[in-house]
Amino acid sequence: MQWITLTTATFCILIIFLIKKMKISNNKKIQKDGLVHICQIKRIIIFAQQHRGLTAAWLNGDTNAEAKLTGIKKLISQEINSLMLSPVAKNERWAAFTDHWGRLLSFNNKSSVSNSFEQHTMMIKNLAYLLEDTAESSHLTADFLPKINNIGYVWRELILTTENIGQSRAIGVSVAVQQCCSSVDKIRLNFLIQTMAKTTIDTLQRLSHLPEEHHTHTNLVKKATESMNKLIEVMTSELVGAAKVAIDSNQYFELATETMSKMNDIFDHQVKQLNKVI
Amino acid sequence: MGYTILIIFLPITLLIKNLGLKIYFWITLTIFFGFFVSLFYFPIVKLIFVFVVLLYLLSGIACIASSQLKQIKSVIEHINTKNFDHRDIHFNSLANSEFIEELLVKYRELGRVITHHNEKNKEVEYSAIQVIEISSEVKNNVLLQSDAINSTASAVTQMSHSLSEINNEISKTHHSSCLASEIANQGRDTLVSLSNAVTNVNKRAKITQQRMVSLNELVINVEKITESIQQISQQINLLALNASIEAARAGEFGLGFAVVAEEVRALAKRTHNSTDSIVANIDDVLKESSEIVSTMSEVVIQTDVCLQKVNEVDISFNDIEKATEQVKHQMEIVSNVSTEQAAATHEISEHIAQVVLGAQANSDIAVQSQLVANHLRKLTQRQ
Repeated sequence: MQWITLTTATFCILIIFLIKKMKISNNKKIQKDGLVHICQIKRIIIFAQQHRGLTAAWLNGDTNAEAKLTGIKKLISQEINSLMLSPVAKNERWAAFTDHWGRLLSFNNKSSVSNSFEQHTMMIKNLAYLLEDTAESSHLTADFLPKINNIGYVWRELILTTENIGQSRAIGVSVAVQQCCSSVDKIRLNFLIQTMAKTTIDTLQRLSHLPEEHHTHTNLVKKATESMNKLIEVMTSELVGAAKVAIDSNQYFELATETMSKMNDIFDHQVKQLNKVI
Repeated sequence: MGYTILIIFLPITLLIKNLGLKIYFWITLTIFFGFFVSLFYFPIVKLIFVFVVLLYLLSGIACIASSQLKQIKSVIEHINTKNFDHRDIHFNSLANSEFIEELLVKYRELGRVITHHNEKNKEVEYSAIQVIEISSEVKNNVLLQSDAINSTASAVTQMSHSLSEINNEISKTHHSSCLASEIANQGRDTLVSLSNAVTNVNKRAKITQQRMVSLNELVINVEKITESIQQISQQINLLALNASIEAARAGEFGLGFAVVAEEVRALAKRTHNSTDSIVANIDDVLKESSEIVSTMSEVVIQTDVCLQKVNEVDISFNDIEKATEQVKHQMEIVSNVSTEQAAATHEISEHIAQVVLGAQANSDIAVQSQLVANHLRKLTQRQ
């Protein structure tokens, strides 16, 4: 009798241990898969930002943009297809994105520049929220990642800051091409400047990092901060504050793109650290 | 048996705990404990223990519920209402984790909505500032336009006075012009009279000229006759001389000279007749001369009349000159007034240009205001 009791007890303890192990393993798989999906969503966001700029150029009469637009559409389609069967597709924001993207493609040539900008911006914001949802549903939060406890800032603030820079790039290039900054453009740019300045102070400084990645992280944050400050200064003096806008649109585009690239470098570094932790 | 139940229930309880169903763990543990204890006592004691177990169970549930409520209250109390950041909320719940998860998802969405509204509020704030700046610009433009309109009104008043002066001067000029016209008409009449008089003089002069031709012919005839008389006189003189000589030589035979004497008489008669003719011609000449004198007298009279008329014309032209001078002077005044008026007009033009510029600036600002208003409308319409 005692044998049966002991065997049963041992068996139960073993089951508990196995379930616990499986749970940990399952959690890591969810996290790794989630990280892959997040990277895919991030790529879609980058492509959508490029698509926004190229569509604006195309609607303004730049026929060279058409070929690039076709390439971007293909890339986005590939990413959509690869995510279609993933858990991400179960999120209602994904359905909203695919629907919005389809409508954006069908109405692309009939839309105005401002409407196209607004539609793209709304779609990118939805993608940013989808990325955050995916991160949380994939247990890529501070509760599950105590070593990188401010990871939430990567999924929200860092993404939205990059998007803010993208918006400032789109609006700024348009202003530089027209050499005139309307009141609405000033309002938008002022708002973006304030948000970006706040981000520089808050978000970038709060990002977590692993001890062994301290040097790289500090270096990336420093470069991004410098680039951001330079962009803010140019936006303030050359676009919003200038009596007549004289800055070259390509020069401004390059500066904004460089700043976005610096932000993406930080994001990539955070993902790299997560891969180490998971 | 009791040990067996204890050994079996213990791992099951731990398993339930590991599965995260903490509340069932406590319930199971309590039931197991009650059942285990009751095995060693009489039924009455067993019943007491069952009640104790139930009491323990109920109090445990109450404690857990109280603890959970306290935790929820604490979380709610510490909610940051400025940003509603769901990442700040951490539940250590015994309840169903799906429920908490759903709650957090809703809270996250709420936080996003609030963030979205906060962002839009900021944009609206910027827009409002922009609208205020635009309104300020409009106000400044309106003030400038008001100043320009006031200046324009002053200039218009000044111009009105100038125009009144111009009107008076023009009336005077008109009066002077009428006078000059009247005098000119008088001069014209005088000149017509003078023309007639001169024409008359011309006619008289022609007649005099014809008569002078006739007189000249007559004088020529007289001259011829006189020459003839002179020849005859010379012959008579020669004959008389010959007769004298012959009468003196022939004595008696001088009778022949009677014939000569007859010839001399005949010559004398002819001379006499010629002389008569000369006299008659001379009379005619005198008569013609007299008429010429008379005609010339009339010419003189007419000339005097002409002179008189010319003097009158001269006076008229002097009057015209004076009137013209007056007109000139008045026109100079008009010119000066016109210059002043031109300056006033120029000033008005500048002010109007300023008003137009202000209007254009206001128009641009209105366009910008429209854009901002549309932007605000879009901000309020967005999700």
